[in-house]
Amino acid sequence: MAVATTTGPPDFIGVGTQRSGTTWWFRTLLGHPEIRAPRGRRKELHFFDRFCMRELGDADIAEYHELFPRRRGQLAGEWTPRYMYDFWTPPLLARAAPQAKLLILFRDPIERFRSGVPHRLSRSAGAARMEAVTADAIERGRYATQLKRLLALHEPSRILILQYEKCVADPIAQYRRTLSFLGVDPEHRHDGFEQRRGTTQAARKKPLWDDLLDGMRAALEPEVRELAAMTPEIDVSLWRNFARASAENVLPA
Amino acid sequence: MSSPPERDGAAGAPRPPDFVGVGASGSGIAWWHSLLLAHPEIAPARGRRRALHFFDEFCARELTGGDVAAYCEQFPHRPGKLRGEWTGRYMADAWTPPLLRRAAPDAKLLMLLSDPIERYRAVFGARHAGGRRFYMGDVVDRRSFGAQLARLQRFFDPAQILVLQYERCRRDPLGQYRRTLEFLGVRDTAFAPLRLRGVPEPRGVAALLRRGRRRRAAERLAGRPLTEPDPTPLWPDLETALHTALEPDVEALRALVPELDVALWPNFTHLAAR
Repeated sequence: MAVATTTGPPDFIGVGTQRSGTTWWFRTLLGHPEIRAPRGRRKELHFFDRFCMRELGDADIAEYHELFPRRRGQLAGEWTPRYMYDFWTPPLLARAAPQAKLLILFRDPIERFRSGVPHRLSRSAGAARMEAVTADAIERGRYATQLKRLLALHEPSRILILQYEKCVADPIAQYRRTLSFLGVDPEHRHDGFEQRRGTTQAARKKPLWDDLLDGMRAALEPEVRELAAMTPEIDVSLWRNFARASAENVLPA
Repeated sequence: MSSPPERDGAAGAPRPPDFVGVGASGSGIAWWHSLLLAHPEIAPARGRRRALHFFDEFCARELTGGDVAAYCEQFPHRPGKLRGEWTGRYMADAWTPPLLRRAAPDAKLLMLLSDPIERYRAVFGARHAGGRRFYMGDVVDRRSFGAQLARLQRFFDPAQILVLQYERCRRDPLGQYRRTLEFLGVRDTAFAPLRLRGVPEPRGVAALLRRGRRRRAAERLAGRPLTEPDPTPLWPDLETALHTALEPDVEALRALVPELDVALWPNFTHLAAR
């Protein structure tokens, strides 16, 4: 007998951040029998991207819900890393999925930048202007600003903040933490879940020069400082580009 | 009387600019720069270009000593003249302030800012009229003036930076013009361009021309930019998101610039009471 499948708002939505291991973590979650991918098994639906151009209607919300089939006892969700970055998306999430739990995976913003620029260039086939790509990649590292926008409309208790470097160092503990937050069996393990997946830009990363690093630190250090103050679970000493500031007590550890 | 046009060949030794306008695009900087150039002690960069965009490319490669020399070449020295440029994106590009400090450490920096949400409406209207798929996140990033000024101040003494408010310049152009001249250190701070010499805004003519294609001529007659036509309306979710995104930044800007009058920014007048 076929098991009934229903659709509805997602149970969880990953909202950030690009080039921070979100593909690895999402696939890891999908290995859990109680967690289900959206229709088409796509990780990133980018559903709300277009609503900077027009208003989100009730029919759009119904369309979004249709993308999340699940059987009884299963959770369904997606992970689009730009939702947190796009300022117009938090209020739309609050309308379309008010009960969803939100996941954020943060990474050292300068390492994220080093991965993000070649990633974007590789997808733009030479059409993107370098200044726009660089500016975008720096802005995406303004985590505290983005988190504050999210917190203005979403309960802190429904947001889980993960740190990529902690996930790499201790995937079992961070996986268990994620499962507990989502409300599924936290002791489940599946084969190879510690293996990192997703695309890597390691071969394309270029060394950065002092002026560029100075400019980025001036833009991002206040953000890192504020993020650390807002989220005690972030260990800034794991972010090598900001570890010096952390050691000098410029940043709360 | 306006300064006569200069021939590049008559110029002197290169040196760093005396002033650099660093922002913000869409806030009346072409207008204000043209008023500055009307002053007999102020001269443009080589080729009379307002916006050199010199530092844009240095997001992709390092600025060398040769590049700094090439920048200085744009500002040939002439006794009794101040030279500068005004590129609206310099303060928004995080990589530019350290480069500007290397290339023009003593330059005075000018910022002309306007209500960030009004600018968003104008850009939205323009992109919407284009009819193609468009993206608006960059507009909010580029209007985060508080964050941009804070990082500029990590590389330049705040006393080297003058923050002007577009709406105040429109309301009291002569007063703000004199303030700008005093900041730049010209000798004749009483000078006023013809356009600002008490000539009342010819509203009738401007209103007539606004309907045609001669907007620039109308602005010249009026001595100031014309008011934008009614912008494309935004919807409640977007209004909420814009205020959530930009209000904290406007508050941060106020803390850095006490003279900022948010009551002049129609989308932030409610902050004035705080």
